[in-house]
Amino acid sequence: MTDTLQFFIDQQAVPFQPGQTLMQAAQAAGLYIPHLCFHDGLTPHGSCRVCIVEINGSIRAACTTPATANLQVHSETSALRTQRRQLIELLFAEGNHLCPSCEVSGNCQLQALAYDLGMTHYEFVPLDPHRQNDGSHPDLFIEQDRCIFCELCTRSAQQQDHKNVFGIGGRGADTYLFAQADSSRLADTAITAQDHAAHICPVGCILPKQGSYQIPIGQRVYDEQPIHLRGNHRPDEQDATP
Amino acid sequence: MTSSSTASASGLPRLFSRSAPLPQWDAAAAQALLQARFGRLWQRQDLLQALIVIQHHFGAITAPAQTWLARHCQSNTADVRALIHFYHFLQEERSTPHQILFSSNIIEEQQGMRTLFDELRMGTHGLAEVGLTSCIGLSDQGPAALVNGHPLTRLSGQRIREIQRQLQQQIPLAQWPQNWFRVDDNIQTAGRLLQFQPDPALFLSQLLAQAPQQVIDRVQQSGLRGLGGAGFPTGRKWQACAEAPGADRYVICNADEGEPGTFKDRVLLQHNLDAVLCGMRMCGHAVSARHGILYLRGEYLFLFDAINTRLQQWREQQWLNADFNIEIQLGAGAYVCGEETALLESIEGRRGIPRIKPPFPVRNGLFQLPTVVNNVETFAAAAWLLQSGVDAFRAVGTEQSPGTRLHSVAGDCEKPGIYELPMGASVQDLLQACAARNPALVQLGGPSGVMSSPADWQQPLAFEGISPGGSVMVFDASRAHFNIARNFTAFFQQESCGFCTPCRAGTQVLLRDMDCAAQGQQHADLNALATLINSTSHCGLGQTAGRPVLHWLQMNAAKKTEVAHD
Ligand SMILES: Cc1cc2nc3c(=O)[nH]c(=O)nc-3n(C[C@H](O)[C@H](O)[C@H](O)COP(=O)(O)O)c2cc1C
Ligand code: SF4
Ligand code: SF4
Ligand code: SF4
Ligand code: FES
Repeated sequence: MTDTLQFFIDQQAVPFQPGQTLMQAAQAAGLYIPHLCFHDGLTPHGSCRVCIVEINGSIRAACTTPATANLQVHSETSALRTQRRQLIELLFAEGNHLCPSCEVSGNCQLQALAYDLGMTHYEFVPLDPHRQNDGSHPDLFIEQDRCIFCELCTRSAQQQDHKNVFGIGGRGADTYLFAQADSSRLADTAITAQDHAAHICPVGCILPKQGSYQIPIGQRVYDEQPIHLRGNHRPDEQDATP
Repeated sequence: MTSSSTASASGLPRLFSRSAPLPQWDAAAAQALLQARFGRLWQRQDLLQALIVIQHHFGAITAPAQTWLARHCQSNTADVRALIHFYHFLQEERSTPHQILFSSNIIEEQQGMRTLFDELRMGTHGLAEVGLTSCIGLSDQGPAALVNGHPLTRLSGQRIREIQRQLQQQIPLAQWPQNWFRVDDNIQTAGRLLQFQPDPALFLSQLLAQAPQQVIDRVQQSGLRGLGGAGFPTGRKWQACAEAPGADRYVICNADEGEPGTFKDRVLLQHNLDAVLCGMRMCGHAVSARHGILYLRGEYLFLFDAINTRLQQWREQQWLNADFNIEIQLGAGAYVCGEETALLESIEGRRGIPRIKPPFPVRNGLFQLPTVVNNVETFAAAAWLLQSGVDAFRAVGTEQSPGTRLHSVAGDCEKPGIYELPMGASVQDLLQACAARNPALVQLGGPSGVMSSPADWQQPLAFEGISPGGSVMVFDASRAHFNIARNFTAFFQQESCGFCTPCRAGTQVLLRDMDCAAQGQQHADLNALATLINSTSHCGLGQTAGRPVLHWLQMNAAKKTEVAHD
């Protein structure tokens, strides 16, 4: 008996500290579980469901499930890979994701997971949303039709930048991202291009106005390395001033 | 002051009486209304309740109202709108003094609701906003609709033409014939719970003579299980809350009753209100909570003044006091708010997005304090067992599901209404009692429950048997299963809170593609998609949203094999 706590992901032992989620412990141990709405250092959210794992026959989100000793967790099963791919396909269908003409193609975590999970085509006919875009801010642009409602931006602004910048409104099919100002315009919030929240969107929804095409498509983060090796990273995440 | 805020017999202002909205935003009037509603300074956490009052009196929450509200609670108007856009009964604009929303329950749809809806919409162009809303809890006396929040029951072609005349002649809502608004109890079989009319004074003296732990022990020994759906042992819930660390605690009565086809809680609140309040008081004593909240669904707004008046009488009698008080909070048209953690969010004045569990409400509930959330019927049953004793409670029902159960019955039967039967009665017993007409399919527990066919009907309605959920929809052989499954799927799609991918995006694709399938067009694998939604969603809504499609596919497949074997 050792006194380190551990559980198992696909038979591999993962040490953990009390209070950690499966995802936090896996990440610390260098094991990749596909995810979109999880970010170390922000409170868990559990909305994208891409991090699903199987425990005792039922499916859980790894980012919201507390680690407990000796738990047997299944992650890389073919059934789970299929369901993760279907969730990604649903996100593609729900937003307006035409990668070839998108500024973040190659740097995008949604796209990278689609490749990783073997998505080859649009499985579901797109729902074709038309949401309000916002170009009011001098340095940032919001292309809402690509939003996956992961709320990394809302949490990052609150918890890292200590500002009230973003919010999610409406419900169901009419859910939308908004800026916390009477005008609903990003320019009327306190966000700056140096904020963490300006460098956390996993897709091409919150975009910097400067420098988008400096690195050509083909030489971007996930062109070099697949996401299960590289992890969820934006090339500009260092640009946020702590 | 407006007629809608005149005092009732008890001296309380009547906040939600039948009226047409005020034509124009008036900050002073709003101030007075909110003072009457809260009786104290209100803050951001009260914003939803404030919006509901403003919506009712002004017919909409227009831009100047949004600004006024946002300034009052140090927020911004985008935040106010984000909340308005979540709740179906809140709106930013209102074009006419009257708004009529038909209940889109499958039972009412099968009773010709669409024809009535179309007829009214055509005939009242520009005179009223006419729309649809999810089940309003009146399918035993439908088709039904809400006019400015108040229920119109037993609608017919004749009644629709009469309503048109009222609208054309601009007759104020308060003067519409009273019997159009009659809501019947339709109690068909009253068991011990529906007959239970406790004397609160006696009940309280009996209650307070017992130590809190003694009360919890009684509930544990009784084997009472939650009657809101999940069947969690009530005593264990109370024990966990009592043991959780916290400076303060809450007791919440879940009167959201959003499951289509369910109306038993409405009847209990109308007919056995004291029993429900006694149960809440009892829980407060057991877990040492000082605050009780009754979360009343917006569809039951017409019960607000009656319940509020009764609460005031309880206060005057000192049955409610500084040791334990109860207040009402209203919903505003969102099925998901019946989920206990979404309900907490809603009470805290936010969009009803279910929280991550664990932690559970018994530890981290309302404002992060230990909280018990129980269904209306659970509280009434708890009060009954305290007064009558554990043995008496267990004398009825089954070993694993002791006690009685209220069933809301509607659809193709002679006697729709409420049936209180011992737990463990069979579906067949119920079908006989309600004089079902040529039943072919029976939905148990609403869209999130199970679709049953004759082979299942000898099974007991109990936690260990087939769904003991509070609603029974009877369908005769002429009803197409596809139409039922489609109505239920549309319900889930409209009520999805939008938080998680499978339910938000999945139900949209599922609904669209089942129509494609019906029309022989290209469509996704419905079985795989429905299974994905059920197995990967964040809360109970999404985890059951695929069921109607799966039941339909399974029964279809079974029929095909039958035909092949013939
Ligand atoms: C989508 C959804 C809607 C629900 N609606 C209700 C409701 O209207 N009333 C209710 O009592 N419970 C409802 N529940 C169950 C509650 O979450 C909770 O389990 C229940 O209120 C606990 O009370 P009980 O133990 O007395 O049954 C709902 C659950 C889900 C997932
Ligand atoms: S956001 Fe990502 S997935 Fe969407 S279009 Fe851009 S690259 Fe493609
Ligand atoms: S803008 Fe980006 S970070 Fe924010 S919720 Fe949408 S997808 Fe997530
Ligand atoms: S399952 Fe549906 S209702 Fe529940 S959290 Fe997800 S989107 Fe919201
Ligand atoms: S990463 Fe776990 S649900 Fe999104």
